[in-house]
Amino acid sequence: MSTRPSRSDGLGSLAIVAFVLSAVSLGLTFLYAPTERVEGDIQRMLYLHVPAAFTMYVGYAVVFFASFMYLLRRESRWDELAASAAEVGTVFTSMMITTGPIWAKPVWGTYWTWDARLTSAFVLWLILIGYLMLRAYGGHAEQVARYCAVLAIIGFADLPIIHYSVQWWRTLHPDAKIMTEGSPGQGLESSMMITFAVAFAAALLTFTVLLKLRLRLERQNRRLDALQRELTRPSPVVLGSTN
Amino acid sequence: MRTLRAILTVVAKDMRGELRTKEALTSTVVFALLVLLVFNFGFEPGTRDVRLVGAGILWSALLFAAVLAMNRLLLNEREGGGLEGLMLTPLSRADLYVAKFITLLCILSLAATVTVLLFIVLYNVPIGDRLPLLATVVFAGMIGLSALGTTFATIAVRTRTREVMLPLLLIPLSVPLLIACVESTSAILAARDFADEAHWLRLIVAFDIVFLALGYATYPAILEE
Amino acid sequence: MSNLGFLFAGFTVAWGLVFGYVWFLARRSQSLEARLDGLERRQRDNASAD
Repeated sequence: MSTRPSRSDGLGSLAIVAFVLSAVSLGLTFLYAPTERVEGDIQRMLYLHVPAAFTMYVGYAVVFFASFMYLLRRESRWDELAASAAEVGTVFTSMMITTGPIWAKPVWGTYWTWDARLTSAFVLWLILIGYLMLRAYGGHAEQVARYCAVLAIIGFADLPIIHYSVQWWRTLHPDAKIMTEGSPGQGLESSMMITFAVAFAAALLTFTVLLKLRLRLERQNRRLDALQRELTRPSPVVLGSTN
Repeated sequence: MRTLRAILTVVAKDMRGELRTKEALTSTVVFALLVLLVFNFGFEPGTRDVRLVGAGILWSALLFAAVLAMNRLLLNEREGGGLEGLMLTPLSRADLYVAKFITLLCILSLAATVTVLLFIVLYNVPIGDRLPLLATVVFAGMIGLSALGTTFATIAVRTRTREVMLPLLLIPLSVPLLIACVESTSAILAARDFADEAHWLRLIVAFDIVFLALGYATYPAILEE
Repeated sequence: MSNLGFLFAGFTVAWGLVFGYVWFLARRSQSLEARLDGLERRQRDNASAD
């Protein structure tokens, strides 16, 4: 009799909702949102880029919170959450780092630019990669959990410092290019705001679905490790049989 | 304070060991020298204005040399079993962090002093009366690197890919420190009014404090076995 | 629509990342399932052999 977790935990329906919402967001992006005056249609890329960035920070926060709780409680489920959120967070960070240059090339004529937001994202991406490498090569499971938790906490504390130092550095060496996209605080048209709102919701929902999927995988993994350990342990019958 | 004396005893023992073999110190200085050499060929002599690129060159040398020093120190420690032995003493794990940090800081400061002097000589830096200011910035930077370095060298040396794990973890986290150090140094080399650039030094100090505190708080979790 | 090529590339990359990751997870999950099956069978065999 299998003791694996049940499949019917609502993940299927959540995934469908996420997919539908993403499709709606895509539709709004291309059919509803107005063409931006300065940049033209390429601005629509930002309905992808900005939500990806926001979700990246959400993922980071989840890793931090889970890591903190793990160090406090030492319960496996927090470590599972941290590991899963880090991997999914890396996906969204990669999304941000790839859509950024694709947006930048037609607008600024260059693929990469060390502007504040992209530079910070790049550093964050490296920290996440380091986290994933530590997960992979950090030694035995319990040690890895602790080390990664420490890295996550220190990394999270570094986030605002990275953000501000990069920004100061950028204002000191300003590029001719300034990100002009319709960011909040620059008088967004309501149709843009709605499109952004839907895009944000779709990104967050997709993140949640991916996170749950990854968590499921993580639990499978742990169960596998536990089973392996149990099976390679010498059986008590063998030990006691020499009387 | 008994704890303070215990910590300083550990530091003294480590330093004595280091100064006897001079292993970490010499390899660090030699490496810094090599980096300075390489960068010299990286820029064409005429186009290279040390006031513009000098800060980057100096801090590249300092950073890579620091990583090397950390790797050496903690590796020696691990092979000698020193840290495990220290864990049996009445010193708390967090106090061990302080001891390791101080040792690393001393080594790095020594290496940095030599590196900065070499830099000034090799690149003909017109440092004048701004040397104390430069020394302050470099020392403050070394504090930050030592704070993070103690934590992550201890972690890295217990993983399977230790040589690459330390810089991979340390350097991205040190980005704010590096930016601030390079900008401060750049201002000093170009003889700009430092009062305008003081916020960088404040950032360095803030960085040092934050990551010293975090390193202290998390070291017990690292040394649990 | 101007810059259609870049727009298309950008959205393809983004959605590709998400679906690629889902596929990657599914594959890993499948191989884990297979190994779990094998181990659970061994566990049952051990239990019944005692």
